[in-house]
Amino acid sequence: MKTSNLKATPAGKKVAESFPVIEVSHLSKTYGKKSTAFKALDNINLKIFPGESVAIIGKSGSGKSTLMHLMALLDKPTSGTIKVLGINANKLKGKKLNRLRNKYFGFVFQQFFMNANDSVLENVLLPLKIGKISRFKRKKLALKALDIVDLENKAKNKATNLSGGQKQRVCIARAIVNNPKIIFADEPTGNLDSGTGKKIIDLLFGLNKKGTTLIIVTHDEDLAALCDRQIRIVDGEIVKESKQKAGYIRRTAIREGMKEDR
Amino acid sequence: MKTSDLITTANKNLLRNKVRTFLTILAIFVGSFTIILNSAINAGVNDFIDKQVSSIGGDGFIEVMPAAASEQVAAMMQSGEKVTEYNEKTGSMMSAVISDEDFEAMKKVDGVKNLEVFHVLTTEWMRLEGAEKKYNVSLEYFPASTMNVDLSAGRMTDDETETEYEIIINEDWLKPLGLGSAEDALNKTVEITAKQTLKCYTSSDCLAIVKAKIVGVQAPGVLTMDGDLHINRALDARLYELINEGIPEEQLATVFAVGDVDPAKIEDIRAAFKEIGSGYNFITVDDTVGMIRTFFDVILAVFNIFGIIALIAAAIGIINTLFMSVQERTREIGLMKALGMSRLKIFLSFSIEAISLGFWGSIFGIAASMIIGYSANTVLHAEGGFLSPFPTFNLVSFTPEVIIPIVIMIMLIAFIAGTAPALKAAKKDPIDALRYE
Repeated sequence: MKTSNLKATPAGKKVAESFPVIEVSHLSKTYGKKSTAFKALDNINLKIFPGESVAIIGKSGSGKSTLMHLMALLDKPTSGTIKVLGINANKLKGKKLNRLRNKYFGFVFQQFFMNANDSVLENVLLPLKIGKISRFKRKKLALKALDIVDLENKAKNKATNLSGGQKQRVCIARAIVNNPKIIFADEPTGNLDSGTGKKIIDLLFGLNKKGTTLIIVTHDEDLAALCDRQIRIVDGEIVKESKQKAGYIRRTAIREGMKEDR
Repeated sequence: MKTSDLITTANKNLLRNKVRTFLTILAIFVGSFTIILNSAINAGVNDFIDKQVSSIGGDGFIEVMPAAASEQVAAMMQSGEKVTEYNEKTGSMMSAVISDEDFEAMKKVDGVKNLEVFHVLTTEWMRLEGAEKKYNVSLEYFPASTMNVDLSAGRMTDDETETEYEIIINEDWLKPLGLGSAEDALNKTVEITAKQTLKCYTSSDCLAIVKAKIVGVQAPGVLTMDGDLHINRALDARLYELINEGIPEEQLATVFAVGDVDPAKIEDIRAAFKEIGSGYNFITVDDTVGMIRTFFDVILAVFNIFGIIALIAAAIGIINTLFMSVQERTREIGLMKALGMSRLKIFLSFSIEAISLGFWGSIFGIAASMIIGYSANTVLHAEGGFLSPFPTFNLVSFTPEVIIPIVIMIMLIAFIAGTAPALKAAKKDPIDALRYE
């Protein structure tokens, strides 16, 4: 498998910097009030370091999507703090919050969420348009992103005329067009057959190898196994954190040592 | 998103569902078309009335008469009383005259620029010099400074000259006088006869001929249909002199005066005139044409109400269209929010869609009302058409002052209609919007 080749060379990755890109502490999220209250997440503590690939695994309803939404700053926690790139996100509001997401995050969704009637190019440059990048520059960057996913020749096609795999590649292009620090991928292969899914996985881990932090939410054990780290969530709590890859364990050991020094 | 991106995106979104957008714009179009055409007609009519008004006199033009006369006339005209009580102080309408003393006092009132005795001229006939046929004619003189005659050719009369006798004819006279176009009439000489009152008691040969030059031709209008022709001061003086030849001056009574006053001070002057002698009243041009204006205003106001009702219906259409659009684009809104688009920008993008609907509706409304308005104007002005007697009357007047406020009003209505759906879109939670079923 090609992906495992990628993973077997962790030395190719940028060496992790000392500060986590995302740091979650004592995070809880409750939906509803009093009698109908439902605790989706309970006291989650988590650090994700630059260049890591992390899988958040769990069954549907386990709270894994809620956790991703909170880390992606799409939702506010009931209690606890989230630090993104060293910034306490609880204190961010409105414009600054939007800017942070727009500049540093990339999103890949299971259901693509493309504007079907717009061209592929228009779909890819949407984050840049929102980020007030000039017409000329955003077109250039979008074509570059499409080149990475090997769809430059489809730039002018209508998004609706693409196959599922192509659509997901367009979504990846859209996720990387702003050169993000972190990519959030929510079941990126969920709607694809295994062959097409593999291409998407190659693309995502290829980006990860170049230094982008990758956070994948999935219930697919095989996909999760490809990540440096697996965070398993059951009923809103982290039940198990496994660190499978040798390269990763090594790096983690260094980090743990640093932590103890502090 | 930049504003320019917001506008292009909004218009692109409108094109996504062409039929729905078209129908919504159509509804706005009906309202905007009605209101714009109406306002253009209103402007055209008012423009024409203004021209007519200034042809009887400008804003400062007044016709002064003794209060007794005006009150008696008013009592008869307005309340329909056939018998009115005699007023010891003012006397009867028939005996009421303007005394020299009062005339001088009125001249001194602040704001009165010019006041002249109005001469009733008993003229018999008029003909083109050297021609055979004679025509009945009545002439009147008002200071040229108080008037702005709607001329189709030539110039206004000159009141400074004492030796040149000048007259302005109206277009109805061209044919009888054997003149071709209005231009042909200029500088032609006409002969006018004055009936010399005293002489006529003893002789049948009592008509004095005065020659006058045609200096201008007045365009036909509604308010000048009485047919009195305008002359200059010198001709007025000469005719008055001839008519009253031999009558001692103290026996010549002034019943009527005309003048020019500061329009801003009209009400003060009115009050001041009431205090002079046994009281004087005057009529301004506004008093005369106010009725006509009110008549048109009422008709057009009724049509405007129809237009506004259509716009209200269209506004509901906008609300409906946008609510559907917000519903359909829930995912897209969620995505844009996730990608960092602010609530305000989401609100604006839907508001701009609403405003664009209003904008395009009013643009089509302007285009259609211009086409229909101008075509109707052409048809009605054609030979035998309803408006052919009034060449200077433009049925419609599409000036920016008429159009721009209406376009802004319609866009504002559209914006207000769009606020509820736009707010709904802005408030959408990206997580709910992106949750898959």
